[in-house]
Amino acid sequence: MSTSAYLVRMRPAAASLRAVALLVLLLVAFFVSAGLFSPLLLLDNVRQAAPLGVVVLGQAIVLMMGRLDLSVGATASMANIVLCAVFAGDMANTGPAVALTLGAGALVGLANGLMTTKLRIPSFLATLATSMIVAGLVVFFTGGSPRGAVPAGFRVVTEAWLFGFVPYSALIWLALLVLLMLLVHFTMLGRKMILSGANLVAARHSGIPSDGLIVLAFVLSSLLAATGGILVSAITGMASIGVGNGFTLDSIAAAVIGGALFSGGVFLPLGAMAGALILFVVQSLLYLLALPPAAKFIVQGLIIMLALALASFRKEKSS
Amino acid sequence: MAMLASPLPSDGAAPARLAVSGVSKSFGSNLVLRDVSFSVRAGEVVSLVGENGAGKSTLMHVCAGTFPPDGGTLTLDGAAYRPASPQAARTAGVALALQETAILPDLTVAENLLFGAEPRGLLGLIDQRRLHRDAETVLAGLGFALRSDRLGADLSAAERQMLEIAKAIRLAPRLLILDEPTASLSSHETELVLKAMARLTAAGGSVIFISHRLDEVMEAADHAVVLKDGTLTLDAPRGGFDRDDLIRAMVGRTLTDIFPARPATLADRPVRLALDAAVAPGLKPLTLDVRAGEIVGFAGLEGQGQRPLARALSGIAPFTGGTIAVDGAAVPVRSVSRGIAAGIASIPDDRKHEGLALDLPVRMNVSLFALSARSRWGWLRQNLERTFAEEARRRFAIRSTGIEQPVRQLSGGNQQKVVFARWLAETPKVLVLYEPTKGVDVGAKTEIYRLVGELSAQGVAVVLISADMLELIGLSDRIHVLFEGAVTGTLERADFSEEAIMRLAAGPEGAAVHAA
Repeated sequence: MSTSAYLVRMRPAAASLRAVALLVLLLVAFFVSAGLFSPLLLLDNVRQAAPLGVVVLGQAIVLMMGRLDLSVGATASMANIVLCAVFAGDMANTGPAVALTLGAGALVGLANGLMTTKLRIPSFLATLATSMIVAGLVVFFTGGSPRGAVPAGFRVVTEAWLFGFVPYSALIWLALLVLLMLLVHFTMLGRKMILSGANLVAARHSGIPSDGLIVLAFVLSSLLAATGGILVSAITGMASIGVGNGFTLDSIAAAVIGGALFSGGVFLPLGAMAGALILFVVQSLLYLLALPPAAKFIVQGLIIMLALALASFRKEKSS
Repeated sequence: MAMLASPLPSDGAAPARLAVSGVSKSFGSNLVLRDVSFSVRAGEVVSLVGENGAGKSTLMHVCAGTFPPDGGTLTLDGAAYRPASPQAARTAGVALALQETAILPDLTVAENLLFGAEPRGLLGLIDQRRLHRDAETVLAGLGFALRSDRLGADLSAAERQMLEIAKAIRLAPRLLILDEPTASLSSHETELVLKAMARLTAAGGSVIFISHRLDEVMEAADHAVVLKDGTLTLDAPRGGFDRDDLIRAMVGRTLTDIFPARPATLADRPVRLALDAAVAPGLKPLTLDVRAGEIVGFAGLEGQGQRPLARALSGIAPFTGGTIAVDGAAVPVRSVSRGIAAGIASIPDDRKHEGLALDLPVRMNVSLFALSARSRWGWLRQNLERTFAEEARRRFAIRSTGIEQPVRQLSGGNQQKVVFARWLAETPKVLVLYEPTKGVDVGAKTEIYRLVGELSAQGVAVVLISADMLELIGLSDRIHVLFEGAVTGTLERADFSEEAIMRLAAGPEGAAVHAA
């Protein structure tokens, strides 16, 4: 088969394209109001959106399984605390700091997965419970005043640009996106995850070990949430309680804007990326327009509504 | 069962209950109904028969006000009838019970049954006691064994269907339209539904009854109307048609062409599947030999152990005792994947819930086992998947716009073929069929039967668990009849008849009653 035919088959889903179209519109609005076109400004938005974008990828995987992860915000916040504490501002601690942070994240995901599969607790409640426990543990261990900091050397991850043109955080985001796309669309494991997400009973009756796959999805989501937390830490450089809390709702909104369905069975990485960027560009745009804070919230809400309406357009048409 | 003779003369002295004349309907460029005319008289059961896609559902929805016809007219008891909505149709006395039931899972049977008409008590709150009493009265009147306090979510497909029918009948409609009411029902429940229809018509009501089961049509219809490709191909009163006429009008073939020919003897073939004192919850110790190429049928009223047997053979709810052997080697089928590894393929009865991912394309639904068998290092071979899916679409005659069409958009028969295509990617040693043609039109049934015949000719041992008598008799080499989880009798091909099966299915008492 020729390469071009292969590319045609891989064309993105309509929902992803609609999200991308909305993103382009918002960018046009952004640049028009800024009065200048600057690719660097655009890439700076990408750089700042990367932490959320990485978290959205995890949320999208969980949504593909027909579940919801309300603990990503708490996990990202925890990652920031753990990372800074282990780093203690010393570049020599990079290995242990990153490993421990991701390990702690994986534990949260494991707990989420086991609660939903073994104890049969609905995922949004199970993950809500773990998010409370995680947030509580953070306050308990830090006594409310977290210590440590990210060394300047590590902050390169989000603050530096490759060849002065591409932010490293954007590359990390892209790499994770490609990895997940490979997993979901090019491996049997991913296919079995999609089938489990689309119809759990049918998947089980076809001999697919769906429970294990659900646990895997939650572990991936928490790992990605922890990664998002690491990226945020690189941006802020310091430990502070609750830095990632906004990720929970933002990640769900972004994933759904990008075409994810609560009913599961869909994974649209391009849409998830566009969704995260849309949320970010809207904020930048509103900042630029210098609207009063109340108007900002209202406009932001309206744009999210528009994005969600666009994302659900296909469902209405097909039903 | 005794059915009422039509109480009115046919020359139209009284206006018809429902007269459909010259009705046409198209969706886009697709002409679904073409100049259809027929009438339903008061106190009459009219059976509407046709393959899936023949236009039955469209015609029914036109009658029930879901959408208006493009051309033609409808009259109800002589007056022009143009319902603007299903609600308007219901007000006019036309009630529709759908095959895809609209039972609310979080409400009880009583709340579902009397939805929107709940008896009110103090402060306008729902009077729960009266609600349940009223519901029990309705259900008892119909003879339906459904407890009014059960939750919708806990009902089986058959029970949901019974409840849906009870909801429609409760309205005491002038015209009741039933869309394949018996597709998921056992013979006993079917009998109850037919009785309820008879009671309605005796009281002067009329029924349009859609069914794929021709024996029911023969039994219940005062009048049969057959649609093929949107055109009326048969319109005859009771006695004016037989089973072959119906089939010919539907598909242009006769009954003997539908079932594959069976070999005269299979006694010399090796035993493929052997159960020895196998037990499962709901199933008494079962000993069974199925030879290579043999089709062994399991008959019985609903809930006599069919489901436990199917689930145990497939490994979903494994046998808890006894032994199961394939080709002489013991294979403990403790899980679905162990069953698959042992060469057992099982087609579930509820394809929508247990078989298919409806929103995913045909390609992803058919390819699982083909890919699992051929994947290397866990990579999904996309080109191989496409080739396999295209080939499966041809081999199983799956009618879809292509391999990327979501399965939800296919007809029941084509959805079932997708399930078959997934499980038969590799030729299995044992094929377990549980209600393989439920809600499937005659054309697709024929294709499925042909396929089963081919597989048995290749030496596959087939276990066929079905409530469809015609199918059991037409396909099986041997029929075991289940009663309360045990095999109460076995019939050889020469002794097959619906009466013989029913006698055994009724259990020891029923057998005595029938014999008397």
